[in-house]
Amino acid sequence: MIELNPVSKGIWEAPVEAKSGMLVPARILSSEALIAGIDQAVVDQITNVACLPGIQRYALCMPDAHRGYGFPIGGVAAFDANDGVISPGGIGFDINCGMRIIRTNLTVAEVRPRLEPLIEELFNTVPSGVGSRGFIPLNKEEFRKVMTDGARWCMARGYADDDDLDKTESGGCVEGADPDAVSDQAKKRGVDQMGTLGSGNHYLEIEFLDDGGLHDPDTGNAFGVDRAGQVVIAIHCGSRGLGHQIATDYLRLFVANASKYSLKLRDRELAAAPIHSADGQAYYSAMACAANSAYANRQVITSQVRKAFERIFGLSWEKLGLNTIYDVAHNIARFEKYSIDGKAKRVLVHRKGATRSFGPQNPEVPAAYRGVGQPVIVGGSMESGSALFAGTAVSESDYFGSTLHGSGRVMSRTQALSKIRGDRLKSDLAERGIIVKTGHLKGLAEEAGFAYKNIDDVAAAVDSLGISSLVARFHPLACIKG
Amino acid sequence: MRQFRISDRFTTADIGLDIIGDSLLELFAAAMEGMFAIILGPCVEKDSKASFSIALSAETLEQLLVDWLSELLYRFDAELQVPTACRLEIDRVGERYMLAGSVQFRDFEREKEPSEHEIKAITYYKLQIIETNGILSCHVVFDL
Repeated sequence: MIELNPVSKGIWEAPVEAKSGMLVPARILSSEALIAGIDQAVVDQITNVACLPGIQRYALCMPDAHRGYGFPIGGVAAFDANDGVISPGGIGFDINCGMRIIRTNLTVAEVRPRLEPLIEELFNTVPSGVGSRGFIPLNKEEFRKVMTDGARWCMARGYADDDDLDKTESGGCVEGADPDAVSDQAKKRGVDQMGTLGSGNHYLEIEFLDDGGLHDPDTGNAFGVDRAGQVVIAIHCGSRGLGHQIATDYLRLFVANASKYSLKLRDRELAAAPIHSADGQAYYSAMACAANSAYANRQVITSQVRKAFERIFGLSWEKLGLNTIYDVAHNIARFEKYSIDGKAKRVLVHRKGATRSFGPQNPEVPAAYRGVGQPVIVGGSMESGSALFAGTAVSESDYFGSTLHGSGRVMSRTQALSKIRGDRLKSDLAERGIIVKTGHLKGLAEEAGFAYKNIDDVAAAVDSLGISSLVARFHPLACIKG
Repeated sequence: MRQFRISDRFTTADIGLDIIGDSLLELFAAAMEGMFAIILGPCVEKDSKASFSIALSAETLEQLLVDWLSELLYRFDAELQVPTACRLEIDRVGERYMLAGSVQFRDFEREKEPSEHEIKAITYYKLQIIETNGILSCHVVFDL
């Protein structure tokens, strides 16, 4: 068992001596309450990450961390862009799994009377669940454009406007995507899935700003969230089968080629390749394809959501004010620059279950938000709703511009199922005013709120650490689970 | 003889499978049946529509098992094919393990039949094939 030493309030450290081969310390950001319950597998995984070549400063764990494969979920690591590595296990199988939040002019009082038909319309409009297929037929050439252009492809096809792209991380397009680095299997797995939600913990949720939920009115105003009762829509999904297959393909390649790069694998899921090797470059190019496809996917879903609201409320989406607040990835690797040991250094930041948290004045932040910082969207469970934070300068200076992504599971699916049945959970939620639409009641029980950490505990830890600043907490009104 | 049991003793967010078999062929068949029990739940439909040939090669048996399940997952996700039976041969040739054979399948009718979990990928987490008194066993964790 690796002992963690407190460094300062909210920060615990495993020093480089904690495990043979560690190149930097591992730091876990948490709270007294959360650190007491930390899974030792998370500590083991993040100290393994600290052994990877080229890692800078610290291997980091966000407060919502739980065990993953290779990296823990909530893991962040930056590798020297010249002599560091890239690892599929530091990004995850769902490349660019991420969150989008859309504001509205509507209030909960206006939406609740039409909630049943609205959620039915959304369920029929946004395909979800196992084996679901999208409604956009894409040929090979068109799918290549999705992979290279991301959300910009949506603009060309009428599924997005300028403001959507402006309010999407990196304009919804990661540079360096090369569809030739993507296997035919990956392309076939993803080509029919554009505009689909998926399954598992992915969801589309209608939420509202509760009384007292607006913690920072000035920043909320900048984000377009400014009054109690205001309705927002949260979307959580990723790159679907395309990204899953790319991760599978390259993890296999990197495991097979580990000896070629003289990498001692502590865990096959941590297989890596030098960023500048042919394998590393190919994976980055393929990962960018999946990331772009995910930005496009959430944008197409946004377009479908707008149509559903238009049909139910009889007004255009522009009049209803369905504007994107922000869209951000939480499973991705990005080249970024940080000051390390007094020098500006280009690094490849891996965020696996962690969100960018750029502070005010960062040029990557949309101009409209540059005075307050980048919106950070944090998904909770279907019972707790989401939280909206703003990025901070502290996150950039100390933690590679990163923060949490969700509340993090504490209970296995079997444990959750042993405590409640899906139909019972659905009726309990209905009694509390939360409507759930799903094709799979067992899966609903597996995603019960008690299977997750309390999002308010995690949010408080993050706010206290200063890695992002709480702006608003939203209460769930209705949820579609795949 | 082959058996599978769905278990999440090694994961909080995902799901795993304990599989046993009295031969490699039975172990791999148990893995196939178990994975589709995770995806579709209890399923009685066994009528096959057609079959496809399969040939895989890997450095280790564990990698071969991941490749086998990954191929079946791809066929399901891309082609909506549900395997109903398999006839395989697994051999060691030099430094590699080879799998060859055929898989019978039926079509997944998503509008008509229930399903339980979408599997994103097969992981290497805790993956080790162990032989005890002639019985092979393994635990496979799936990313959901």
